[in-house]
Amino acid sequence: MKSNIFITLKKELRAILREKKSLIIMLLTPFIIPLYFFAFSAIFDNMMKSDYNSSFNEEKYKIGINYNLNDVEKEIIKDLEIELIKYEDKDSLESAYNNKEIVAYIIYEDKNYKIYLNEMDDESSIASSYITSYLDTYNNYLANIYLESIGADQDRVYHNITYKFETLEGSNMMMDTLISIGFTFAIMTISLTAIYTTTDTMAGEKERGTLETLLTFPLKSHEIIAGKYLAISVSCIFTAILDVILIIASLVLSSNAFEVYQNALLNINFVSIILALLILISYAIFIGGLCILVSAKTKSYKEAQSSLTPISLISIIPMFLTTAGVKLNLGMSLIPIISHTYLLQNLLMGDINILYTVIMFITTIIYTILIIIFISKIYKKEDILFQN
Amino acid sequence: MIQVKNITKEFIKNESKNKKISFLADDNITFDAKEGEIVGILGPNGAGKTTLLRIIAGIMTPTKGEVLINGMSYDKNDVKIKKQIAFLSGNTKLYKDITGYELLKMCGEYYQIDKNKIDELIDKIVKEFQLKDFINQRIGTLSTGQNQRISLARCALHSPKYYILDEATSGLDTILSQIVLDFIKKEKEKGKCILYSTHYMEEAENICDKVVIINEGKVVKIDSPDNIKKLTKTTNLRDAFFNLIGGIKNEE
Repeated sequence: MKSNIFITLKKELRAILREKKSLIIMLLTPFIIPLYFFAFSAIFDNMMKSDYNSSFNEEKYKIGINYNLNDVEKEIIKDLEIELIKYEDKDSLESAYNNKEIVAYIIYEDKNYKIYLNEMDDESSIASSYITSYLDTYNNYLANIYLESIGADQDRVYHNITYKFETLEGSNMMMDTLISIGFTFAIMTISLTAIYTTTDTMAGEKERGTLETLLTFPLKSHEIIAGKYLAISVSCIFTAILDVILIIASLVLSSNAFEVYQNALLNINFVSIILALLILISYAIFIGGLCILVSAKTKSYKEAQSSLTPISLISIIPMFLTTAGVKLNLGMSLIPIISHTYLLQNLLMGDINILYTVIMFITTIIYTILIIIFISKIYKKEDILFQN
Repeated sequence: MIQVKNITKEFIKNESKNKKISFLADDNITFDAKEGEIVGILGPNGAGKTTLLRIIAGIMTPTKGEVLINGMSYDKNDVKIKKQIAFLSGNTKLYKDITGYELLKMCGEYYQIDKNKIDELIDKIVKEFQLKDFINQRIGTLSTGQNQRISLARCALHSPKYYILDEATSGLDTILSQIVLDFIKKEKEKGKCILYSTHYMEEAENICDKVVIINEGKVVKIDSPDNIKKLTKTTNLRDAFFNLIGGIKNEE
């Protein structure tokens, strides 16, 4: 003999799978994820390349001076992004600066260089680093001549230590943003599946008049709710599995195809994939319960949809928190949706916090059980079961 | 036997934002129905028939009183009782996205009929209700008559002892109504107990052994159609009904 929960689950799943709109939401919306990854990876890649190219193509910063450059100075500024233009006096330099012909100017008097610029202005600010570089190099050149003249060992003066930069894999702002939005999409697709299947399973049953038929069968209200809840969760889990496959595939393909992922630390291995899947399944289990809770009192499709829509908006909140630089903490790990999204993002970037992960799993199970017990109790009430 | 004992059902209605009023849909209703008996529940719209039948079918709970089915009350034997009854009303719709066969199979599973016997039972019921031509079609594609036959098959599948039928012929044409009425008569011959609510007095007069006339939630009269006609000195149940409830205005 089959249990009534299983029979109800089978009935609901059959209804979900035969409803075209449910199937589209469940199976097609996750395909937004690879589209998003490829499109935004390409956009970020282009942005990065255009920034890099523009640094070579840009015109040199024009800086006014009141002195003539010697050959050494001319040689030094050749390698820098500045062009030094000679003006007659301070007034003509001031006037050129005010007319925006130059971004800064240098006045030389008694072996002293005075640099005039506005540090709050982007161009002046960048030009200041080139001016510093030019004057430091020239100063070193003069120092070298002096050291040579006194027969000093230049290596003992300049090369007592050596240093070299090596590139490390790690945080990459663009990739972090891509993954953050990618997982928000995954969470949203699961929420959409939950919202749509719940609307059909709960309010649809009332609106179609089949709930009264169901109530005539020899089964308890908790068996009806458990069957419906499991059907919604199974649909959401199906979307979650599809999401994980598509996210991993998108990341692997994108990281090979786009330079934006260069030097970025991507933690894709068997353990991280299984853990990501478990986190999404745990989200699916929670959101299914939450949707049933919200829709239990609704009497029509319309009412259910307007009650459930805010849930899809709630799933965007973690993205805003991430963007604002908020890090996951103990308190936040107790809040489902937020903890799910954060843990997923951290996981793929190699940051697995065991304590927060365990707390998330335990709280999700506790909240979901409480929700199901509560709905089973209220689902006996006549004002909830009958429209009038 | 179905025993309805002092059933009262109170509803709270929101008249305005801050004002709630209570009213009695059923007020101290008592009657019983024996095996092999068809008991008609008659009354004008809003008399409390549907609420009463929902309470008897165990999908609503009374504010006061109790319903005993075969000596058992719903408090402790909800599942046991529901296995013995079949409830059909205008509000018990069928799932449109499944076939008639799938529906009957699901019903069989809910009634815990042995897996090996379900198909055998479905075959029998398909023959009895002549469902063969459309049993594998989705219910949503069927006509009203075919739907009603599937509904009756759904009710009869688990061979219930008690039928609770609320306006089962409402909205059906003469031929389809006759299918329902023939089914009711057949089940009565098998010794089943049937509660039958209807608007059609001629139907009630023809098939009911006893009628319970309800008006404004209260029982007005319980007796056989013949005795009621005698008592009201009328020639048909329709006139007797109007006589008892106080005329056409009340029916409207």
